[in-house]
Amino acid sequence: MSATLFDRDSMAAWYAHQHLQTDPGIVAVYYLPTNADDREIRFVEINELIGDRNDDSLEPIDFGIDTGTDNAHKLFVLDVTPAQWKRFQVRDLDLPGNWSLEDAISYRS
Amino acid sequence: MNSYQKVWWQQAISDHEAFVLIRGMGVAQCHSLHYLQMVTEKIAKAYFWRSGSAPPQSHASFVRFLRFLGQIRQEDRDRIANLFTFNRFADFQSWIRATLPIAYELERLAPALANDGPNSEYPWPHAKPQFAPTNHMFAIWPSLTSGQGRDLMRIIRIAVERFPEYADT
Repeated sequence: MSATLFDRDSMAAWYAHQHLQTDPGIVAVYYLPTNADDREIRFVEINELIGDRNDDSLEPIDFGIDTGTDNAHKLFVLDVTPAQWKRFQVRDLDLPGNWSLEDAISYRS
Repeated sequence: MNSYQKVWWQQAISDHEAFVLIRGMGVAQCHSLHYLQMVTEKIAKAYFWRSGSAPPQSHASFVRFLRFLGQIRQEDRDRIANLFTFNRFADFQSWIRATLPIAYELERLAPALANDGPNSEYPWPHAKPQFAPTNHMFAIWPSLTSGQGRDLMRIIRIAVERFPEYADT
């Protein structure tokens, strides 16, 4: 498998724009490259349509994509409410595992 | 939870584990969809076995399951809403209403409900098969991979993992 064919940052930007264009609830996408594997794209997506929820709802959903090709990778999406996002920022709520906001890149609609 | 519910729940757990593995592997959509449809059918049937009598053999049970949860008796409402991550039962009901279209589509992935069209298991149409599930881009996939669909997957995970807490409700 060639490591040069897969450009994680470009792929992340493409996904972020797609999600913002097609999902009316999503107001911002944060791409979190720190601590992620080379072929792992981690997103936190702020979704205004989720409604007020408790923290048991916080679970990244992963999809394998292009498996068996040079472009194989995984996309993880953690959907959060605007209120939960504010709590992440003030560290009142922890991101899953070793997810980190360090060097996060934001995309907005 | 009675013994009938327990065996259906055990199978739903195993199907859900398979679903999560397959979703992460990135194989053809039909395989993820097949297992997700089976998880939802089995957790629903586990729930309906609470009466001690067999629920209908039909694959159509998940929509009915969500509707039942949305109409449970008053004294259980706060507890059930919270179990499924909602702070108010009215919010849970609104979520069910908004999600039912995806639930209907999930049910219709079962061959018996697919009206001889796209399903997650067998080539169609039956008499003169022209299409294989493995090559098909399913109409439900964009919905399932949207924020609303991912949210449904989380609720399905909770429905399976925390079944003992509402099995008798």
